[in-house]
Amino acid sequence: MTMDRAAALRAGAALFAAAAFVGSASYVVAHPKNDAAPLQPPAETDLALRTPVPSATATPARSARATLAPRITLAPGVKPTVLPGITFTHVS
Amino acid sequence: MESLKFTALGGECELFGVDVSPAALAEGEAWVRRMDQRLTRFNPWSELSRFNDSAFTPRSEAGRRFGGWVAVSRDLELLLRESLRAYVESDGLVHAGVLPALRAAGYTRDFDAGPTAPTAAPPAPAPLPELLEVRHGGARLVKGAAIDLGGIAKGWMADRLAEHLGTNVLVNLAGDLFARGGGETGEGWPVGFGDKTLLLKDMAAATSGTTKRAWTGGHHLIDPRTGVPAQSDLSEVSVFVSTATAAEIYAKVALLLGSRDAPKWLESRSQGWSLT
Repeated sequence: MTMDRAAALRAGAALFAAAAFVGSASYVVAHPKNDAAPLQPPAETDLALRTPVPSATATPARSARATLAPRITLAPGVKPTVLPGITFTHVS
Repeated sequence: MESLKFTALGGECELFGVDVSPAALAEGEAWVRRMDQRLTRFNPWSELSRFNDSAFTPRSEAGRRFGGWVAVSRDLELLLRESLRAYVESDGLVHAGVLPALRAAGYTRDFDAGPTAPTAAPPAPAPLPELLEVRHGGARLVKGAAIDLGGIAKGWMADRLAEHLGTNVLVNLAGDLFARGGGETGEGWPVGFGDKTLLLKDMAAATSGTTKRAWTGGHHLIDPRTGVPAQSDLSEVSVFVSTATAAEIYAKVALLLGSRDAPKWLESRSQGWSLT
């Protein structure tokens, strides 16, 4: 009786291991790597196009300046330079 | 080159000068602070606040459209005249009489203290010349009207201070700047403009935008055509032109006009602009 029980436990363990092996192999075969799969969570692609949302507090909302390039028009004779500006014009 | 930085007029201010003494720059800072105190609408005892209160004084007799004449300083008189000139030059888009609308939008106190709950927007303001009259040494307002000098004061002060400090100076008052003379090299003062650096010589620049002093549901730039915060497809406009006062006016007009009409309006008036 004791021997039969031990044999049954061994057989059960072997069957469990075999089932786990087969199951894992099947899962891997069914789920190959897909380079075109979307990122999770989805990446924000239209951030630069969205209207800046004012903050809920008095803290000034930052502008879309960081994401939208300004369109600059200069009259002939105006001199751009590679020197860093010592100051700049800005909203206050 | 001497320089001085300080905070006033709601932002960072910078003074630069070649062959200018530190004492002269310090005196310039003191003048800016004094003017700030006189022209702020957030101090009930400022000269501007007392002038605005005059529209409600007992001299505002029943049946009379205007409040009483009030004595004003030479500086306030000049600024009020400049406001009237800006109104005409901007075809009514730069309107110093939008203060009631600005208050209704929630900008009733210093911005650092946060906005207050908006109230019903008043109707779009009448033309400024119908609200404000100025004479030598005095001015008066229509009952219920109120003036916010806003950016006009900054630009005007930058022009005046640059003229006073010397022949080779750069004055930047919270973003409105005037570059007088050629700077250290003589070719011009290097100033950030949009994403470029330009050499400005006897030239001014200013920026108007809706991205600062903004809160949920509103911002500080009132469109006088509607009496509510402007709806523009532009969030920021910088302009450079011969005076900081004009730059301030033009930047505001361009922002209110939007990206379609702003370039046409600016091309005959400005030496350069940046639209964002």
